[in-house]
Amino acid sequence: MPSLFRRRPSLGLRLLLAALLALVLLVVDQRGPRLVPLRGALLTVLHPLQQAVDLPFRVWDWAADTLRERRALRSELEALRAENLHLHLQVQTLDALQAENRRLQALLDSLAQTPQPLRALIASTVKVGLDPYVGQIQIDKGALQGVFVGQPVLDAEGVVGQVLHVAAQTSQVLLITDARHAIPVKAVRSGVRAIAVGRGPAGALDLPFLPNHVDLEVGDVLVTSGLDDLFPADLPVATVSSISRIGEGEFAEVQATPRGRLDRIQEVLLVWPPEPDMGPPAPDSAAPPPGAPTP
Amino acid sequence: MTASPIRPRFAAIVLSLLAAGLLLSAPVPTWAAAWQPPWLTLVLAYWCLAQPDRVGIAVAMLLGVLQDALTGAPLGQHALAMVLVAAAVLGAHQRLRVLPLAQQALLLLPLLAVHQLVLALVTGSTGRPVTLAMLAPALSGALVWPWLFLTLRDLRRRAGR
Repeated sequence: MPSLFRRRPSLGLRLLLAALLALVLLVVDQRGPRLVPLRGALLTVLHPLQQAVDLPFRVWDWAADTLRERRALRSELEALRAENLHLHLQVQTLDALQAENRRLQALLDSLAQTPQPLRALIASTVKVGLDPYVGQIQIDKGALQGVFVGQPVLDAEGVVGQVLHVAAQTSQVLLITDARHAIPVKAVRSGVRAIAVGRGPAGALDLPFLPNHVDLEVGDVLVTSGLDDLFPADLPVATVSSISRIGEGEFAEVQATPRGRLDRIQEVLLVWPPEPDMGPPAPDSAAPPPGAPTP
Repeated sequence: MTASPIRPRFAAIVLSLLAAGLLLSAPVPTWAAAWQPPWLTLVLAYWCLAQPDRVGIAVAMLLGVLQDALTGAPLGQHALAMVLVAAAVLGAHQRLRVLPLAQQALLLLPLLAVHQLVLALVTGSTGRPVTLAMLAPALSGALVWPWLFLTLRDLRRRAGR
């Protein structure tokens, strides 16, 4: 029974307290990683809800897979065989190039590392409704599989984004097109370095603060520069789609489009960075070796 | 039954909130996502109207944080917006309850607009672009209100008053 005389703080006071608490949560969540465990726990608890929504799609996919015609399967097999052959051919030429690269680097006595093979895990996207104002996708791997916040996410076309929130069996990935995402890139052709900032749901990237005379052309491929210590170097990110050098300011307006439709992805690759002992020394231990030339 | 009569009513509340969570998580095409009614907020508003001494500010806060975690929104965003809606409905529940459904929906429209405005403000404060389209869910929410109200009232009556 609702009692008429139950004592409770007034509505206004309760509203004030709750609103303050929400604001504190917002500020703390935006300023740092302190709420990561809380969010992970909540998402873990709520994940069955998402799985229930995703279940019909899974059943449909499974049924479609199981009931596929022999003919369709055979033609798919043929296509995959052809693609495999093609990729093998490419790898062979790559081997030769790599060997040549190593020889040249030895000649130059360069300290540059040959690229390490990346450890990767395949994840499928989970089709669930997410906040439409945040450019993100959800995948079916989480902390139990070793996924961590900030982990690079790729697909066959190039960089997709980075892990934003991790739960036990699932995680949410911030796309490179989100307005809060920025990734350091360099142009393959000219070696120009830039930061590619997302432009929101439109699905394009901005390259701000490049001088008007910057050596970029429409069609230039942008790859990760590896300067952020987050994304491995030389992964394709986007293609330059438009350059406008006639702004009033001294900066060119450069835009790039990501390689694929990021919000339609089915499968992604989670990548673990190469072992730290293989990489260059940490900055604090990078004292100049004895006998090194001083600038 | 020897169990207290509160049980079925509690179950009705939890069940309807779970259903709202399912609707919230349903995958919809991008154009439809922009028009998706704020399901959880609507169900919360109903229970604030029907059971104001059971569902109040604290529940609104909890649900908001849960929705933020579920949908990957900034933590506290929906909590802030839903707390405001809950407070407004709680403050006026005696007057709102006796109004015809169409009038309730009409009064809910500005309330939901404030809800969306708060969401938009938080989105803007994180540096993401804000558009007028963010108000669309207020309209669709007010449109589905009469239907939702009747469904939930039916559920509540089945569970016992």
